[in-house]
Amino acid sequence: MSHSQRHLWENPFRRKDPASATREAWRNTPLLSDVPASVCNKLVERTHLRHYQPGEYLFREGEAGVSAAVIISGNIAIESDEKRIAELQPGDFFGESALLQDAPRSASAIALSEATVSFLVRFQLEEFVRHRPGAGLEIMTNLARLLVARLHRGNRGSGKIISEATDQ
Amino acid sequence: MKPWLTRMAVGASILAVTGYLLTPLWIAALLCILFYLLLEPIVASLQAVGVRKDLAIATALLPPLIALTYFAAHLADVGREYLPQLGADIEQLQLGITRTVASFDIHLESVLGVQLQLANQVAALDLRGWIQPERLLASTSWLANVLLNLVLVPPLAWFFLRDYRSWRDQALSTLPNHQFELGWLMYHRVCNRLQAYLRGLVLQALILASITSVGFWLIGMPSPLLLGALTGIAGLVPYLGPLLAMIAPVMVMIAGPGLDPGALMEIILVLAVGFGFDNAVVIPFLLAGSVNLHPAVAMVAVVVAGHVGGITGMVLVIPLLGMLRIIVETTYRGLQSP
Repeated sequence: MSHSQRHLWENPFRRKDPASATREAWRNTPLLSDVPASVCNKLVERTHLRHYQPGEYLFREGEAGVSAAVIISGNIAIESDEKRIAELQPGDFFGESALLQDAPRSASAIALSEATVSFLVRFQLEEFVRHRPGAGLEIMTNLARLLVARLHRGNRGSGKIISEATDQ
Repeated sequence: MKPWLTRMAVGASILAVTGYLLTPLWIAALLCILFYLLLEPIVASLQAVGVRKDLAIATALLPPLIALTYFAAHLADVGREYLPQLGADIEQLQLGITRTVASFDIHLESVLGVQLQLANQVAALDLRGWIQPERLLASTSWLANVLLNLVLVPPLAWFFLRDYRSWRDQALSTLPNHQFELGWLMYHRVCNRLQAYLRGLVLQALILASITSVGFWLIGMPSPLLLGALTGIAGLVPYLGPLLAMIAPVMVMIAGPGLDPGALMEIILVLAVGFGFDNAVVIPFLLAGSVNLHPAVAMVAVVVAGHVGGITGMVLVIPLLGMLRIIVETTYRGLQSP
């Protein structure tokens, strides 16, 4: 349901909670899957909502990255070496490797339209894990699964390229 | 002027004005920061085992606050008893120094045949007029200020431990989009190094104070705890600490039985043991590499800061310089990226 639509049975006088879209977006990410809603909400309270104009960079390739992000509204392009790798939609989750290591960004992210993006900063995630080790373990396990899945996908991709090169 | 430069200038001006306005409360602010740095890990570990945040803060904060209250009450008692006789003690101290210098004069004359007559110059000094204990006793403004600071410590420390993170998040949220991540990175690096350094300093002072208190008690000095505490504080001053630490016990000795070479050697021995342990064990394990300043830069900075800001300046200058270095390095690296 888009923000402008409202079902007939919804109370038209009740004010829409602006943070609910952010909470929903984060809860649907692989990072917070199977994590209790109360814990998700606590973590989402620590995220940062930022607004971007079309053409504005979220981050650039080579810059130090310290956060992962979820798109709340608008579209974002991911570019590397001035080539477009992907176009991301609302609800997409990206930049997760910065939650683990202090490495430069491997690609740039640029807003294609007016966009609202919610950022989770690594240092805040670390604080959260320190204060709630039980929930933190689940989140860090999810993060590890996500990165391993991406690694496998990358390996399959590079294997395909190698086999294509060998065939030629 | 570039927009980021304008923002930095505005930020620095706001910080400077806030710092100036909060000058009367620097003791409370310093104690709150120390409490936060020392107690935050305890609060975090209590929360990790399921204790509610407010309860965790209260549990961590109560013992040091009780100790601080006890120490302040003890200090007030000592001050009330000692201040009226301070004038007589200063005269006694001046007499002791004059006697010591006179014997040095005689020794110098017998060995080198030179008459410097330093004792006359020392006798001419008006130490009592310089310190003016009566005026110190009559003036209540400094006492009121210290008391106000101490009263403010518990609530400020409480709010600091409870709300610091949300204040920090709000402050960092005001950064523009392209400096948001750089700001967080910079904050994290500065905080990590500063926390390690300041925690190390506090532990260093406590260890040095404990060792020298025991030492002063063993050699029979009066008020060994107070002398140990003063040595711990003097030890915080890099490089010049051992020299500053000598002042209080030597003055106590001169004001009491007079300068005695045997007693002086005992004081030097106690300080040598304390500072030896400090240099051999405490500094390499607690403080090494936390600020990474060249020793020459650090020494010049300590001397200049001592001239400008006294003991407080000498203690604070190294962490402040370290912080400045990290901020400049990180900003430079961040601004260089495409």
